[in-house]
Amino acid sequence: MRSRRKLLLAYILTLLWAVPGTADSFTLDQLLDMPLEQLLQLTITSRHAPPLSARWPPPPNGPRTVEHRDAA
Amino acid sequence: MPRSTRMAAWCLSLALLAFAPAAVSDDLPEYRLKAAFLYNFALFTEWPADLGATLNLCVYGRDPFGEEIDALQGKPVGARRIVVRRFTSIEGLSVCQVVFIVNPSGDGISRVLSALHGASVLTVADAPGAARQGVALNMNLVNNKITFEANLTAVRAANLTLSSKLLSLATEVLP
Repeated sequence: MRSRRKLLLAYILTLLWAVPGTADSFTLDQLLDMPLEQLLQLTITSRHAPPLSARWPPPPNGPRTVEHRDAA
Repeated sequence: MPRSTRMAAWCLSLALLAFAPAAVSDDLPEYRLKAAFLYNFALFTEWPADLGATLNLCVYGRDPFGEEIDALQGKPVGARRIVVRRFTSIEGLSVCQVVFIVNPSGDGISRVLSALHGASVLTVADAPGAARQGVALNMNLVNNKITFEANLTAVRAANLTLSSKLLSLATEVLP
């Protein structure tokens, strides 16, 4: 019984080891070693989308404001 | 082995296999790849001989790279080493050799280009139409891949030369 448990544990550990983790696949150092032709073929997986409040530089007429009007 | 244990093992196996495709896909954030392009732009540029031992790579505006670009610190470009610097005012940009202009829009970009006029500075941006506005190299996202265009007038005005290899890979080269 104990040996079967050990076998099961070994099986699970092997499976966990075999499935790659979610760590970043490309570090910047790896990218810097690639030729430019290869960089052009890479697909980004996450886009940078700054929130509206973080836009820089601010528009010439100043930051957008919300106008509040009291109901008559 | 008890039946329940065997079932649990099979369920775990199936779960791991189901999530495996997501796990193996490459995680590549936009600005990590753009930092690599910036480095290549510096590599494929012919710099003035009297530049000194460092090449200041500056980010002007609200930095979208974060720590991704810090990894370029000290990387070699020929005999020089990159120094990453961040600026929020135009006045400091005179020390830069590469300036990445963040989110150029409106008269912001023309003010930066005016301030750098005549200086040996490679201007880079990632905004649609920035090359036509006078930025030397502009990155675009097409189908989540990065392409770039070059403005030779801007490059010549900065007394710089881009390698023919870099230009051959540009999607558009403005004369």
